[in-house]
Amino acid sequence: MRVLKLVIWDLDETILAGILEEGDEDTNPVASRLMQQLDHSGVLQALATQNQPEIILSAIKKFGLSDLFVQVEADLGPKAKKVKRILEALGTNPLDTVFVDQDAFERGSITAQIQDITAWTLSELEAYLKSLSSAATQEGRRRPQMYREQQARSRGRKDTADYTDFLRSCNIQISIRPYAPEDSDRAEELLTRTHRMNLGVLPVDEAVTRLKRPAEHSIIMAEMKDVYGDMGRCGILHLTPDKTGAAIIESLAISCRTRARGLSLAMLVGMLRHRDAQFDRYRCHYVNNGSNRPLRMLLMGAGFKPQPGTDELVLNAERLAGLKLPDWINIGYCPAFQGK
Amino acid sequence: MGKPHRNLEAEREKPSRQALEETVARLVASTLGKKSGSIQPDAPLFSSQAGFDSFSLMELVLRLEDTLGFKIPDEDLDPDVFLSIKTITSYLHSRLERRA
Repeated sequence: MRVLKLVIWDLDETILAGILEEGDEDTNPVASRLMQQLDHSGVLQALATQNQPEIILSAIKKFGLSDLFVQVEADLGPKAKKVKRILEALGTNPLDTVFVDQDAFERGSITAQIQDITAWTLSELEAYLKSLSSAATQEGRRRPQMYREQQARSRGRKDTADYTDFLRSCNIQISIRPYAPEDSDRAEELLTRTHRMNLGVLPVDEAVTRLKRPAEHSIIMAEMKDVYGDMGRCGILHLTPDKTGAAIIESLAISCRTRARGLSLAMLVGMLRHRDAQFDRYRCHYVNNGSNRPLRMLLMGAGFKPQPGTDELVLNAERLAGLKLPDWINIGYCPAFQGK
Repeated sequence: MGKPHRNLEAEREKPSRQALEETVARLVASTLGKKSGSIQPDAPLFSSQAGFDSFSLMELVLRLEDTLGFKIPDEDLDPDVFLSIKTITSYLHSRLERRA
């Protein structure tokens, strides 16, 4: 970085302590303080977030942040494209820009796709701002160190110049296994807090009750980890056989934490391919709850076909078997819960 | 949230099939972060290398709706419609024909 002119912020788990879509509305006090400090220093600030624009505009107004951002880019697409649009609109060189995100994957993803940009955690931004406000000698001591750190990151980027190479370097592992009683709290949380990737057919209470039903059903859990950490249990699929060799999807929820990595399709297909989920056909009803249209897209991506005149979607096993997944996602199958 | 393509905007009432395919190709490429024209019209979008996920598909559908000025109903969200640029174009063309 040359001179800090622009800071592009992530929202979920960076400016906010949690995830907006999951109902978390507490701002991170460190982020709030740094935003005020940057504002007083005359550094431009913008927001790039994977949330729906209508939700974001009212949220940042509610948080009192509307006046801080010179530009807000909010949509469900990849974050790198939003960052590029901000840079283009403001005419700012990536060399003078810092992208701040607490998610290491997002930072790596941005630096792999946008040359010369710096991606920092809140702590790194805080350290930099402290160095600026310290005595010149201290600043002088800190800058070479930060420069070296940045150079090291740049070298890492050269190794993963292509985004697909970057994704491969993440060593993304999805682990699929049957549901266990120990999963009940997380399953309930997934069904309750996941709005975009939730089938929305059953009321949450009913969906949770059915998980405990001792019947001939299959419940599959998906866990995910990569070189940046273990995201834990991110997906649940609840199937009940019908009398024709098909399975009815009673519940399906996938955490929006997987969205940055584009993993939702791999996670759904992985769960459907588990040996406990082998059926001739998979049927489900989709009810639009106002925010779960991405799930409808996910079902289409997995090959579910709408049945004319009904709200039912059907996927046959042959089509499921033919679906190819990216080679940078590794899916492993476990016969049972291994404990946490 | 992308701006409507100028040529298509002018032809919004009933764009030619070619203009429609160009627009679809541009929006697909843009959604995938690739150069316009880099994806063959009959290349499968859900291939392992294309990189389509539910969120990129959602983005594409929203862009198509925004550009063409109508909503694609849930019952038309069919994997056979969204197989490729060509199949999307065919669907949209027939929708526009019916509307005209």
